[in-house]
Amino acid sequence: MIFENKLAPVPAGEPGEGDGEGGDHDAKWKHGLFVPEQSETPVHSQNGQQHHGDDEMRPAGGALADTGHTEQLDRAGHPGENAEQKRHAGRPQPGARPENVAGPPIEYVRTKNAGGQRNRESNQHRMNWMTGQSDARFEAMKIGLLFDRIDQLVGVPLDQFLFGNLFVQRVGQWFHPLRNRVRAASATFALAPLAACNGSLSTIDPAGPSALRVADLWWWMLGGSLLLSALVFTLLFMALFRRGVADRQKPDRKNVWIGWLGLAMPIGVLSVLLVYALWVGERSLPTGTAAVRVEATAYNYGWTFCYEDGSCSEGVMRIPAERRVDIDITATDVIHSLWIPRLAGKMDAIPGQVNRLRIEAEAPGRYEAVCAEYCGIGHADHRFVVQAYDIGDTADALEAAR
Amino acid sequence: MTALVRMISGLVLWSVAFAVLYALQGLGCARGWTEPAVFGLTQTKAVLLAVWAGLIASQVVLLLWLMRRRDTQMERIGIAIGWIGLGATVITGLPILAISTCF
Amino acid sequence: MKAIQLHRDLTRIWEGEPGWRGVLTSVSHTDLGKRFIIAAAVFFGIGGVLAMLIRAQLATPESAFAGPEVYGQIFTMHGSIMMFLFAIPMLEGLAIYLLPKILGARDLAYPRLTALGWWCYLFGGSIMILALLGGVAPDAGWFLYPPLSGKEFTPGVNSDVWLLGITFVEISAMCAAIEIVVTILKFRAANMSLTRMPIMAWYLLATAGMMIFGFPPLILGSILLELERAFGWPFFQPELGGSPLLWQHLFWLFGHPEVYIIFLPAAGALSTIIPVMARTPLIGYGAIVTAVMALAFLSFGLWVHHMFTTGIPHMALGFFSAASVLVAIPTAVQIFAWIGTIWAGRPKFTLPMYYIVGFFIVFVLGGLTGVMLAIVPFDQQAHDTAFVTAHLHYVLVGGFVFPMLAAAYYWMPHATGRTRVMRLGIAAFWLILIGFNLTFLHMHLTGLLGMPRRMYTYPAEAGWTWLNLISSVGSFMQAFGFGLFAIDIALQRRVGNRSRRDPWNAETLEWAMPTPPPQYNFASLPTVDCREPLTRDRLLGAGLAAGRGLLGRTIGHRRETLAVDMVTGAPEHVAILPGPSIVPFQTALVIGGFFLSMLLSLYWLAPVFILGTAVMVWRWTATTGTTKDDGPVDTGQGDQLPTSFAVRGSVGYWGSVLAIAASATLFASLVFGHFFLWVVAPNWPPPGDFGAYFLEPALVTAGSLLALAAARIGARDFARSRNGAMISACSLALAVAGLLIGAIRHLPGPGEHSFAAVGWTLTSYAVFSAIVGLLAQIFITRRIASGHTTSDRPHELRIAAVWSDYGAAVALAVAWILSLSSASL
Repeated sequence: MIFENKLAPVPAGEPGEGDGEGGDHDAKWKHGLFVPEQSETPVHSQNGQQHHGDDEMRPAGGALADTGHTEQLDRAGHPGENAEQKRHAGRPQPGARPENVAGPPIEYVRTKNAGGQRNRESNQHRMNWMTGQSDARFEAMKIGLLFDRIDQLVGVPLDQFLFGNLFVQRVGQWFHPLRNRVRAASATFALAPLAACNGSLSTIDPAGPSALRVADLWWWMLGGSLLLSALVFTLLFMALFRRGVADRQKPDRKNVWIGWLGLAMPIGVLSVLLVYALWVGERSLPTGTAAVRVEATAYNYGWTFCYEDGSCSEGVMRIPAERRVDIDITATDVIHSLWIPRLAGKMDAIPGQVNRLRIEAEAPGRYEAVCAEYCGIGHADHRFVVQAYDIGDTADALEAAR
Repeated sequence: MTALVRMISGLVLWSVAFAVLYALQGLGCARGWTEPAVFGLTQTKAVLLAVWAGLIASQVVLLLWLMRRRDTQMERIGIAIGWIGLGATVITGLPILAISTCF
Repeated sequence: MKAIQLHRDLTRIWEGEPGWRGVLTSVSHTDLGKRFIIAAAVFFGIGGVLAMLIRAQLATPESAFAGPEVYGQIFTMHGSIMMFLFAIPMLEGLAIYLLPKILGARDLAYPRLTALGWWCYLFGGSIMILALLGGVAPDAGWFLYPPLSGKEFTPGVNSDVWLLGITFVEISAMCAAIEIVVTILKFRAANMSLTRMPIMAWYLLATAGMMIFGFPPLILGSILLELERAFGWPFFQPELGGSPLLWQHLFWLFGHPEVYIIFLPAAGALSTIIPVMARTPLIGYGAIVTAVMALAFLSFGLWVHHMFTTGIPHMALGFFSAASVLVAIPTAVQIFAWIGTIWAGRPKFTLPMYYIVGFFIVFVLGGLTGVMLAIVPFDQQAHDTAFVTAHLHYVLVGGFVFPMLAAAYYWMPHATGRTRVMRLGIAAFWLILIGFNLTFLHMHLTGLLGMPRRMYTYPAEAGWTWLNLISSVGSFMQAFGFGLFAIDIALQRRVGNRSRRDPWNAETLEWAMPTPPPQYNFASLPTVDCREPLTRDRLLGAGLAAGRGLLGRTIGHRRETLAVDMVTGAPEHVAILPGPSIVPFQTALVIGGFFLSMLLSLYWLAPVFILGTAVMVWRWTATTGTTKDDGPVDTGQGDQLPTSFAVRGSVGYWGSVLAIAASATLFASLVFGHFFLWVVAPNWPPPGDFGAYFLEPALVTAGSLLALAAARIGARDFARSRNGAMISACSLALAVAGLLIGAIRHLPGPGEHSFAAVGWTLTSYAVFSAIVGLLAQIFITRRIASGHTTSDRPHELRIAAVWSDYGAAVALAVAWILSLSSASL
């Protein structure tokens, strides 16, 4: 039971924004131009963009044009009620489309632009049409034109073949001279922080096999994430700025988006990751016997370590280097967490239970450690140190450490 | 109401499966059923494998039952959810195959 | 003329009371939704100020800005406010405001319950803020791990503020969740089948379902910790057979679904706004519904990934790691469906679109780091470091705040009827986006370099100084951005020009009404036959206003809306809804009295308020219903439908079912706790003599079975229903007696060991449930006597039966669990 669309008159001041319906839609796209927003601001020469003979498009001077900008950007709908509009003589009729008002069809423009020559005259027309658009849309337009050029270079319309597009896109962008310079600069910029990876508590400056496996895992995941985010952002920006025939006329691309990108790709990537992850996790488990056992007890606010020979130490854990050490961790009051970032992952110290953590130091030295579970006001200073001594120098090292 | 419950049944069964597997693992390790029993597997692992296989089988049965009717969109969504339930039971149970049980 | 007359009549019926009384008695979902949103925004501001205090303290090493005690309160309150007082109420507010409108209904299912939820939120939130101002805010972290949050290590009232204040706010969340589910299932436009619903309704259905099952574990945990703190019942103390891990399981069983509860409505807003901005229908409606359901269920299988470092065996961690990795797939399906929709359309660069692009950038990065954290060995390095802080802000700000900012700009023209004023919004956007990334992007590195969370300061030698300073600068930039956003919204509200009715050319029914919306939403209710009713008929709004839909007439002073079949949307009955009432406000005050008496350690006062709450609930239900038979009513289109008084499956029944589902989840969590402690906790078995006992369980069995049978009598033969109700009530009393005697005789004192503490808790819960059932049956006898419940209007019988059945079942279960446990010890 739907309501008949009675011949109710369209209320005055409401130019139909009924875009998106079949016929109109086609008409718009024949022009092939990306139409980001209905422009209801009338075409006036004083509102026109100043064309300065180069590719730069600057906004028009004049307060009138600026308010036009503001209105266009800020009003989601049309500025029909705006008093200013009513003053302009050439007020568009309901249903008018800007491209019907100004400019030759863009096919014509395109031919002229073959080879990237800019036709001043057609650009002037285009700029008149662009009256009232904001800078953001100029940017969109420029990118759209770039895609145009790539289309021509390669001879394949962008929306024909999804993965080919991406390749073409990347290649096209890669060879752009300005982009190369930017790319080089950002690579240096991005790599600079890598030098800052070192630190006494750094997980990405590993000093033991367990931490090393995790650090490797991290770099692989970082690389994968960068690739995946590049994929998503590229698709997103292409979706936002592409121009071309809308897919509504074509068979539904649902299978590509949902089937391949949404399901198949993540399942593939994640399966590999999960298997790798479970393998790394297994390797770090305290299975089998270890060379040394240490009992660690956390309390507010210190650490006590007791060794197999019955001795104990406060705030310092002495272990042999290059040997597997199992730490049996517990707490006497609240939950703490024992963490030696350069050697291994952390393990909570929970009152009433004993958790075992396996660590190994690849070389003798001093390794910083912190408490990694909030345990009250002394949490920030609740630290300790691991002294790994060379197995050959046992007696001397122990003496020196004391 | 029944149509809605039918639609989500695949995932409801997964929830039950997940809870059962986690509970069994916890119980087995806490009770110390770590002696090798069947084909060199510990009791806990053997029980887990058997139960997991059973749960996968029940997911398959459910999926087949759901697939009998695919007229409405909700029924088709129900079949997709049935597949998801099956896949999730398999994947979330995978650690049973490869991981040491109680460490 | 008809339109004007109809508008006048409906306004007269649906408007609230004037003045202050109107504020206190309002049940208007439009107004209450706006109140929720505005209050949530205020709490966001408070939480934001706390964030700035954190960043001020961490900008430099060894800063003297805040000491560790104050810092503990600051970061705990920042997290608690943002999660409980901002995120959940904001999405509740959006749902409450929007749902009836997009579904084509006049109101939510339980208008007075909406009001109760609002007052509980306001009071609970105020308690928290007052505590902050008074320097006794919770300070043990937003997830309050015992033993640190227990009585020994937090002797002050701080943790109690959290436990009681948050539980008070949770009541509002539970009310909203139950109401949202019932509204979506029953109050839709005619012929709006479930698969013709706007996609937002599917998201909210899943979210509300998750809340119903996800919040009770937290409520239980809060009750247990409060019992431990107030009365010394040991649940989490290992010396007495408890385990701190029990809290963590209960908390995270709630905590993980919580973040998906926060994300899903935002994703629903995106699924609504993106097709409008791209001017093309959403790609893959069915796939998205599937993905949403997958997310809703899978998210309940992730909670242990917050506990990867607690010593749980690797295989168990593997289950949760696999599930955590799996959950990325339905998320990816949605992301690519959205990009595909933009691809297929002609996107408009409106301000909501800016925020949507911001969402993509920020949330995708957050999702990727989330997959990293799902990996056990990596998480064992990154857990409890700034890496996690960075990740959670990327997913929460990217996945909730950005979409909500887009939603604000999208729906402001609806709520206010005005358009935006200046370019402030753009400036706000860039400040927020850039400021956010400047705060949190390199924080991932800070965490990998070893900086733990919740440090009030750090040493200069650690090498984190520059990273922290940049984060602090970025946070101030963000703050400016949010400030500009607030100003922009206020300006639009006050100074914006009138906008036309449907500025976005959207498809959903909320745009088929005048903006700002009238209290009654639709003058007459639509019938839909496709997913995009406004495409079919752009002038639908005008037609409905003219009374051409259903119920385009008024009958006396009745508030009416259409109730439909749950799946097909075929019109089923006309629901009669209550008008303004002071009862919700009063009930919230009484509940507040209970929480305050616990907070102030006036424990003898607490039972008084519990009794008071029971009285208020009785009064509340007593005001529903009618003593007159009024038969079917005309729908205004020539059809006749019964009213809600006369149907069997009323909304009250379904609400009760869902409330019982929530209660059952709490019960199941408690039973889990019982077995968990038995198997895992140290210092078991409990000291003392235990053995089998059967007398008291037999008593309980007799009572329960009799109650179950008696309730069936009434269902079949109305004439004997009153007797059935009496018998049912007495049997439940017998069961209660059996439970209490069994506990007194066979359980040690609750403070002695966790077995006793859990046993007494189980007993109390069973007694409580049985008494609720008992009261429901007594209520029914009164209703039959007064003529409210008759053979033509029997639905209240069914409601009472469902409560007494549940009470009987719980009593039975608890009696035997305790008896068999005792036999096995």
